[in-house]
Amino acid sequence: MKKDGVRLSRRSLLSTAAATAAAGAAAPAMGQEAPGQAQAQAPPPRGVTPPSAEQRAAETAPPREARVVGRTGSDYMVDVIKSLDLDYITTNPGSSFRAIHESLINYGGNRQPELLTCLHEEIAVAMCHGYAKAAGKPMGALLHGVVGLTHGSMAIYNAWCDRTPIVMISGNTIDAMARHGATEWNHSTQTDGAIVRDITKWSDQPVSLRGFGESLVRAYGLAVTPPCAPVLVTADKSMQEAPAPDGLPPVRVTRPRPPAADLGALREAARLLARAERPLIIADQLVRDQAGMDALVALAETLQAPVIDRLGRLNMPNTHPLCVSVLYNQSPRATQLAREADVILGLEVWDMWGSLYSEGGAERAITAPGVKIITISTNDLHVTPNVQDFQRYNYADLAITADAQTCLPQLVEEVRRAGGSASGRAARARALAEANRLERAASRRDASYGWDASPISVARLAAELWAKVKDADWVMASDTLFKSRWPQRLWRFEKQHQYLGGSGGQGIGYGGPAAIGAALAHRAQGRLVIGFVGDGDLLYCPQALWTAAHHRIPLLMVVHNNRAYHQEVMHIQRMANRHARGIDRAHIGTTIDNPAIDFAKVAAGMGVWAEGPIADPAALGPAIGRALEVVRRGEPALLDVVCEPR
Amino acid sequence: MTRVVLLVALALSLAAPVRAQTAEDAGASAAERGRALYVRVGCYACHGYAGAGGLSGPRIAPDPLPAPIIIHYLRNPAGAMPAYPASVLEDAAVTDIRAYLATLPRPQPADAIPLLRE
Ligand code: HEC
Repeated sequence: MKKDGVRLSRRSLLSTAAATAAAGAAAPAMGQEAPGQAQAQAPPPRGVTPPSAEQRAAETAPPREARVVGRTGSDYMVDVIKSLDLDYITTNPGSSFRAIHESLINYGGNRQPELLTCLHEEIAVAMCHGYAKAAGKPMGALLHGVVGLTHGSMAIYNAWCDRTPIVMISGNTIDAMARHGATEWNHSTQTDGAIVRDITKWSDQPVSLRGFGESLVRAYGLAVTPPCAPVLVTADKSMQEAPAPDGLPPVRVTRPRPPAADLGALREAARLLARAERPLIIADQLVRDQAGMDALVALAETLQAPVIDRLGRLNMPNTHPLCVSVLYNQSPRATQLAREADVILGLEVWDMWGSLYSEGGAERAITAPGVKIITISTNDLHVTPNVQDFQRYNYADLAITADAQTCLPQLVEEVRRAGGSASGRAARARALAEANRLERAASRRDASYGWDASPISVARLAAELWAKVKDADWVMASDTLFKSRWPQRLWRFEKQHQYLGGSGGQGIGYGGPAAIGAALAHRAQGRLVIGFVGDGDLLYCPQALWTAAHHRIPLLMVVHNNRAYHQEVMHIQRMANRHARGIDRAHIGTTIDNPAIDFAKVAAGMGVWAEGPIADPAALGPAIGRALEVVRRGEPALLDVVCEPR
Repeated sequence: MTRVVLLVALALSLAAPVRAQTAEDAGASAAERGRALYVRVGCYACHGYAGAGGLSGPRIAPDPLPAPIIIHYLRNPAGAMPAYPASVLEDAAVTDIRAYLATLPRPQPADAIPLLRE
């Protein structure tokens, strides 16, 4: 009897046989009823479908497979999972990985990783997404064959675009003859990986336990090496449930260093930057820890170059005099700087073209003729043939394929060595600091418009929140783009962990669960995590709130409730205007009103403290205060705020 | 026959411009009519209910541009703003919208608002 190329030991065979015999002895004789069976015979409660004869037989007949005592394949899989040092693993339970599930909670003691119950796989994956960016390390997700994986695929796509590592394990019954019943056929594939192949860095379906061990550690290493991305390893159900052979070797995960640039290329970049009269830095999905932010600040200060922070991550402190804020990829000031620049350095800029060319209408380069473009990024290592998230092709004079954060300290060193005009830099610094000061003053002035209006202005909401959180160790865990970047315009984002960037793929449904994942990552440090989510976004999976309540994950969830898929309201309005045949129906199919959704009730139904709808700006401050008391007690709280659309 | 008439009537009603005044709001002031129009034809979507602007459009209130300029701009917008030709929004409706924008309060200076002080 051979399995996995390893001979099953006498011991495990004997223990299996013993367990089967014991199970037989404990089973009631034919015709006798066990207590559970008596219940199955009683009339079912109203509204409950009685089990079919087939189901009853399946539940009550002696087990078809031998009972396995001792070590199972899934126990070994849990050993491998534990070697990855994952703190948590999310799941929505599924029979295709029932043995791993059981091994995690019993054999593994439900620690390192602890299992988190999610009420949809999109939540299970999106929580991992937010967590990984906040914790700087991945967590795992267990996904049911076909259906669970497909449910989770939207969130996988966001994480893919956002270069975030997630270690995913799916269940599958590879051997068709091992599939029990029609459903198990429906929940099986030739290979699960094919479902998400375009949006994962790697997937594998090993057919031996040793293979599983190697695949999972390999997958982990690939996931966490920039450009980071989700990975999937499929665990065969039969292999999970069968006895594990003895002598399986322990695995050790290699933690690779990120790819760095060669010194010659960095020197060339440094020479161009040091000699530039008007250098400009653009940063996007760049910084992943405080050291990365410090290195970017050092580069900017050495050159006295402005940094356009496109906020794929929080790259630059927004109060730094060299920081240039943009709403999306451009702003009048950013465009002006790009126009004047003689050398532009893009650091992990996902859409470099979008920063250098005018949007809409005629396609025109913003930049001056002769500008030198340098890019350092892992973009070219993150391309698959199908999905088009690689963006417009952008010419660069010097394109360095490497992890930009890894390169920064060396680049700073080389720029320092290359010298350059100190007086030119000082003059530049003064002008940029003044522009930054004016920009922040303009933000405060802009925020005063519509201050007392209802629906509440997003600026007012951001200001009210700031007043209450600014003295805490806070984290803004949601994308702020659709909030017109009001948090960035009014708050002081000075530490790397205070903002995580956006969803990556702009697939909605990310906001709620990602914020909860981030809150989980920050729970141990007692940080105050704020989710600031759109109503349409949260409605994709509001039941993520239950997971926050169930696992006592404290965070303040603020719903920016504009009662619409507002982006689509604007799109339909545009179409209506363009076609000029009726301009007053853009709300049809786009608004979420009549009835308005009562998020406080939804949240309360999930066991989360909540208040709302709040439409009076004067009521906002006190409500935030009450919500924060709940959060400080270690629990989630939600505020539903009826807001301006943007 | 009746069906054809109905369809023609429907087509006409779809194509008719949004008017300033309808039978229902005969008693309303220009600003009241303008407020409803501002929402109905979607100005709020990009400029906000209070006209304060944001990610999708600039601030247009208080102190709106003079009506003829707004009318001209709506007919011939320069940048990312969609056009509102007279065939879909008559001049009088734009004038009402402007009347509404003119009623919106001027804000206090930011320094007079405690939450906006640096
Ligand atoms: C789909 C979004 C959208 C809608 C709907 C829209 N606007 Fe605009 N509007 C804009 C944008 C964007 C601009 C800035 C134009 C540019 O690119 O220069 C603008 C500019 C303006 C300006 C010029 C502001 C200035 O000071 O330069 C006025 C006035 C204006 N809009 C009024 C209106 C009115 C009135 C309506 C409704 C009838 C309306 N808009 C509907 C997006 C929109």
